[in-house]
Amino acid sequence: MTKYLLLLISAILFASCSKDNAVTPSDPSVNNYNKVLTVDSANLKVEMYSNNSSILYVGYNEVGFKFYVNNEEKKTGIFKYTPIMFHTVGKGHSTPVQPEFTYDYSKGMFTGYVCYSMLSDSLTSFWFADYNYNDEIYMRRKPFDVVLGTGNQMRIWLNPVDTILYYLTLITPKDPVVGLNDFKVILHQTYDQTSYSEVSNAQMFIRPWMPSHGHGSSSNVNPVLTSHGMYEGKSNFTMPGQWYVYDSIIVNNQTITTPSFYLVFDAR
Amino acid sequence: MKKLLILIFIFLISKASYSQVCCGGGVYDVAVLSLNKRALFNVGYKYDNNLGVWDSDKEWRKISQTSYQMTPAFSGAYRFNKEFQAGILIPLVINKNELPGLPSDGSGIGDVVLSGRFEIFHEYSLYKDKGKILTDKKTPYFAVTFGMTFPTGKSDEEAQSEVGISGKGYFTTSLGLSFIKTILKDKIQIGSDVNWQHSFTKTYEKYYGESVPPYERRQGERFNYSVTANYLLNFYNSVSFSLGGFYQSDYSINGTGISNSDESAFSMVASYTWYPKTYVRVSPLIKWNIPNTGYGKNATGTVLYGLNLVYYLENLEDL
Repeated sequence: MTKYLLLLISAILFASCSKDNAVTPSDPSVNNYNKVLTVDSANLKVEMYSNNSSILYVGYNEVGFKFYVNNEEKKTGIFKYTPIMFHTVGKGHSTPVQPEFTYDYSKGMFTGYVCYSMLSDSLTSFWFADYNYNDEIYMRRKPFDVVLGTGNQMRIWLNPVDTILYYLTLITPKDPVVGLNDFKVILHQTYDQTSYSEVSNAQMFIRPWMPSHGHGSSSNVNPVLTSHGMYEGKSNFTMPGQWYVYDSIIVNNQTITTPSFYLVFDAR
Repeated sequence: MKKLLILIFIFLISKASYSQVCCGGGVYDVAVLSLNKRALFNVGYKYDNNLGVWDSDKEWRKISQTSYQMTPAFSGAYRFNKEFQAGILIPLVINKNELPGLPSDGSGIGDVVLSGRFEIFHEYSLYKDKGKILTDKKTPYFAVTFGMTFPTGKSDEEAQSEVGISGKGYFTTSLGLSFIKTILKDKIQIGSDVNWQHSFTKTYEKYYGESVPPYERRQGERFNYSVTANYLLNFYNSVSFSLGGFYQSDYSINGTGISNSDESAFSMVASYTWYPKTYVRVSPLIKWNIPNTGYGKNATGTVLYGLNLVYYLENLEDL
């Protein structure tokens, strides 16, 4: 079975690397968005951008897309991006991503976010993506790479009560400082790891804790919903060093973070 | 003899080991009486400027914001007899920490410390031998020290913010030894103090005023040490230099030790003392840590400036 999976992956990889399906990493920037890659296929072209980075990282990424048909850029309609992770062993899966990307004229591209749940490697784990414009034009199974980045964090856990898999992804702070920090996360749920939905009815309670000193902090602000699935509050790191931020989450009057977990920060 | 006793007094009172209220423990100056003093009243002031912290890897992390603690304090001591004396310290804690969006000022009564010492040997004691009164030039000063800190200050359980913290919130006991030996009479002494601090478990039902699921926390066992050298310039002036520090084992939550939460720091203290009258002492001091990687762990590094003004009552009894 493993042999067949390897063959399948290899076939996909070779197919994706054909001349008229070229994926070209490049890095011109637009409004702080750096080009991550270009996907060409016949008369279609997709340019993918990432905010303040020319690399895609595990965790939260603000991304944008420019889509061309016959070298004409599309500036209306809806763009959809579906990353898919294939493994040489085990089931493939997708990852939380904004359901629809709309065109942002100020940035000159279709913008949104994607939260990659893991990194790619050249042996066992391969990221591919499907691109969709207005549910009319499709580009399928184009490979790309995701690497680990400092500051990005994601927690994935199965709630045994409702058997829903939850994904909590940190947006900020990625470079925490001593004092008050904007604490922003996005929460997703999935039943099948193929389709993900933003959870917009959660209550969150954060508690920073400095494990090496045995104390927490005051003046924290619990995150509240600001847009689809996104929650924003404040976390107070009173001194330099490593801090844990416990996030207790209630959805539909049920605590879904049992046992509790934390995000790790190094305040400077 | 009087000079010597004053020197002993200076040595003992100039020990300053102090740390942030919220991080680890601290030992305030202990008011100590020499044999020819019955009681003392001390008004002290400390300005402790935070420079940074050592993290759990002993890496020095400098802080950039204005952050300090001022501690005016009153202390007193009373000698009951040749062997036993007791003291009390009542501090006022004033905190400053300037970070955007956070409270920057707070103050309150700190934790009250009761202390005592049982003096087993005194230097230069007189003794009789074959009808003659002689002076013992060999035996050093040696005492057993003990104390208890009462949680009279406001801890992180009730304070509204970090700058509102003025106490630890739990009882602490200490037990130690104090040793002094004159090397060059009326000129140079060396001494050493060690003590063990034990903290009692505190049950938290609130944290910064907000209810939390109850949990128990206990500070680790703490060992303080110092070695001091004194030099008497003349009858009115003396200087001392001290090397000291502490080691504290892991704290525990609900009975379980938290790994890598042990604390340590190394510090130096230099002090000068002026005796304008036999019953008045003025003593400024400076204590500092070495703000470099490797000189501490999970502790705050500071520079402390202090001033003590002491008035004491003579002991007219023959001890």
